[in-house]
Amino acid sequence: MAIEVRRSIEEPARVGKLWEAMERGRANRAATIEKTGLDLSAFRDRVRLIKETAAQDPSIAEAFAEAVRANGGRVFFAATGREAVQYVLDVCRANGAEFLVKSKSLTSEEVEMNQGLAAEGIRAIETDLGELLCQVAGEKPSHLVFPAIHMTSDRIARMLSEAYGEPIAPEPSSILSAVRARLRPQFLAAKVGVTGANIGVAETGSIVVETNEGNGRLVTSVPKVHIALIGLEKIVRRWDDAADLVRGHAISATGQRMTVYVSLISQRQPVAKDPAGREFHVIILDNGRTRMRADPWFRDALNCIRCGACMNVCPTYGVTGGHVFGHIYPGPIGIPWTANVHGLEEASFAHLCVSCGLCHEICPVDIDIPLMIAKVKDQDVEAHGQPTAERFFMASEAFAKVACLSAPLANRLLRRGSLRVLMEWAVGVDRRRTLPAFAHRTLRSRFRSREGQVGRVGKVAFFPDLYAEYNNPDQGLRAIEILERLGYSVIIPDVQWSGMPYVSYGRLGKASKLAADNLRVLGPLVDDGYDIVSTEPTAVYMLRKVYPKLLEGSLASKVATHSRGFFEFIEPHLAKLSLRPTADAAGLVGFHIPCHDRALSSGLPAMRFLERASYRVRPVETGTCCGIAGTFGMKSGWLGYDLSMAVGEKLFEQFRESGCDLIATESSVCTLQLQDGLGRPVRHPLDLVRVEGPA
Amino acid sequence: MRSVREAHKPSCVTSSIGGGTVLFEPGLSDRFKAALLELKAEPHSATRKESTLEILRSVVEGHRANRVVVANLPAELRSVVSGALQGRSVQFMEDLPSTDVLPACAAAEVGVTWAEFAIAEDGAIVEVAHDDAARLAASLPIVHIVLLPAGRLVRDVGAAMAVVGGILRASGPGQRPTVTFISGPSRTGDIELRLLYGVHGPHSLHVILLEWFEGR
Ligand code: SF4
Ligand code: SF4
Repeated sequence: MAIEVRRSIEEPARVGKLWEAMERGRANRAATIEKTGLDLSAFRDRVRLIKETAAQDPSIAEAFAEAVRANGGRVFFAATGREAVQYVLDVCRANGAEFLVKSKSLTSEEVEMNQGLAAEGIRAIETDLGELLCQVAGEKPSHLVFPAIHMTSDRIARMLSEAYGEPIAPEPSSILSAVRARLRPQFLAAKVGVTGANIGVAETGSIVVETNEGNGRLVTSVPKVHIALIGLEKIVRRWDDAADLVRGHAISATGQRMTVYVSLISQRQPVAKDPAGREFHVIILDNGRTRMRADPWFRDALNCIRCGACMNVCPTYGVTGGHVFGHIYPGPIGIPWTANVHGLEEASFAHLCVSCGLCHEICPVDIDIPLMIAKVKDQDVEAHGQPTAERFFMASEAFAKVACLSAPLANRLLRRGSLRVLMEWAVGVDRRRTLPAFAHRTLRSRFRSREGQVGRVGKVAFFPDLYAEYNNPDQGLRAIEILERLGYSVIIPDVQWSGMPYVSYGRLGKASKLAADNLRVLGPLVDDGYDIVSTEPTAVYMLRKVYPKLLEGSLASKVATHSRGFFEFIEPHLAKLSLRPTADAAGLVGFHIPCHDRALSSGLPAMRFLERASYRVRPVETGTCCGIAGTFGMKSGWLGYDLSMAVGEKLFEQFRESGCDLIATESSVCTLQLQDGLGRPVRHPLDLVRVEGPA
Repeated sequence: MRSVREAHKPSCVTSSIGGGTVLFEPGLSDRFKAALLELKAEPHSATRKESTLEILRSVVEGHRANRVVVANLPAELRSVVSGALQGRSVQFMEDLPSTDVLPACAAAEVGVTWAEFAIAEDGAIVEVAHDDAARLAASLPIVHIVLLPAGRLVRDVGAAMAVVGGILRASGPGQRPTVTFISGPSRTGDIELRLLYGVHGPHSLHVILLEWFEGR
């Protein structure tokens, strides 16, 4: 895996194109959402409801099959991919077909149809341009929506010239004409056409096939026989349900309002009134879906509408590409799908996920992909063991405790090259990564020895997490002091750390236990009128978003609703305070939004806090992660530090070009990454503002 | 669904499609044309029968086309098309033996077909085909000309789905048409993300809005 990661990172042309595709995908999507005035959260709720109902109700597939038969079509339920391929083979033989034409179908790739047919002497000709290029090159698609995004036009022209035995100029338009001319006779001679189906509609026994190129239209009209392969989970009950899905596919995949050709096919039509030989077959594929449906960890994956949006935002997919970050299904959602339909052995690319959470944020169906990935990692670690570095970072709290006790010595040692070499060798912490220094006295011990204030406005339980507790108690105290100025009584509850690495490294049992321990402390405080506040975005993310998923029941959701990020919490009261810059002249602050905060407040309250102190603030962002992703970027080598720096490079570049005087972010680990990448100090907003008042 | 209901006002155009009555919203025509242009499709407005002939002739001439296939048109419009394209090869698919349809469509440069209605905001025409000759004529030639009664517009895909759902339900098992939403010419972004037209289907899509003809 490390070698593959290295190879793909070191191929800048390819990384650049993929990155461009992702950026463009995100920008187009955002623009179309804005233009259509789509209410995204209402849309998410509707799509989710439609898909959830569809994916969980086995009777829908039965009703669909019934309706297809009533229209004169034939239906085959395939329990496995092999059965599906065998059925296609049988239909081809019955019709004397030596080859078939295919329009893009991920499901047919899932069952490895082309290989299965080829082994029996039947050629499947891909007609989607991207898929066709992959087929000619003998490569797997690297992106769900743009399968051949990794190929340049020069390479394509060379490859096709050779394959077609005629010179083809490297201009995209020449390539296009050559492909059109080459494929036409094959379309015209085909006896069998195979498509996937984006949606099945039970009430009329219909399928929806969406293509931009129009190949889907030819595949379903020219050949006498049309076979559609549809995953069980794609069938909805009514046409009313289909409209949102048609919209969702297009917007999230390419930022189009609608796919160019949306074909609603219920049966075969005659040609000039002649129905002879025109057959319609529908294969309904299970291949593990029924099992997924029954699995509370993975049933969410069945709600996927295959739009590819999660791919366009994933930081590590962006630099490694779909060949490394994928098996047949690429990208974030490819991880749970691969683990379930192709087996855990093929899903080891799960460990490339750095748990930034962005895929969940962008998903139009609100699928908690990161949590499913954590489960895949958990299963994989269970089966194959855990790397030492991951074990080390999961013991971060214990390590920090010891380091603090012997802080001056520990800090000296941690700065020393020889110890870092040793640490890299023994536990896999990259020696190039600057680690934060440890404070001699922890936040708790300093908090205890100071005079607390009794406030009348309310009560706050401050959740320090590791950084404020062991590395930077000053920052924690500053936050607490502001809370007290605003009239809050503050305590530091007897909680442990928030435990993100347990999730990132797939130890969900430990994560759940830790969550339960923390909630046992926090629950009664909430009942007693406390709000939970933290300066660490990841801690708030764990409390708000992850604990409720790990533990069912009202305790976790109660604590979640009462947990807030520090700046979000104080924002309504800021008018009471006077805020001034600590620097002599307030300059331009380049602000980095931590990934985990995107699921919360997107850094807005912190940016407004700085603005109130008369800074000019500009978010500097690539739309994805800075690359460190918690402790991932501290691990040594290509599966840690190097990958993390490769992800960060775009962001570093933007900061360099931003002309900002100061750099700020809320997250402690993002701070390390930006400092290492930029060689400049990175400040917490609290360090940049002098707070006084109330008068 | 929503907009069809909202549109329940006296000024609406009512039509009967596939056995059900459908209400179309007035005042959407400019939006529809703007959406078509954005998708690189070309809108044309025909106020009278004569101008329809002229538009057809000039579009076909503009593409220097000689072979035209026609399918799925209301009977009244057949003479308009043949009148406009005198001196060229014009074949009506309904008149051909079934085995000749595919070769005719494959050889033609222009296909002329009919749209039952259109979706204004998405710039999509809605083809309702009970015979695949209609789909072959619309998708094999490099130029596609669609005739559409100007008043038959619904607002968005939700409204369109409601109409289409109605048509499909009303048609009954075994009698259901193949319905296609077409928004623009065939396109791909598969080569270096560059937007290119005409990879498999038509490179050009012309939509002629008939202001003088209400439909079948
Ligand atoms: S959580 Fe982040 S790194 Fe992991 S798959 Fe999702 S986007 Fe990619
Ligand atoms: S998981 Fe969500 S974002 Fe990813 S492809 Fe599926 S629907 Fe789209």
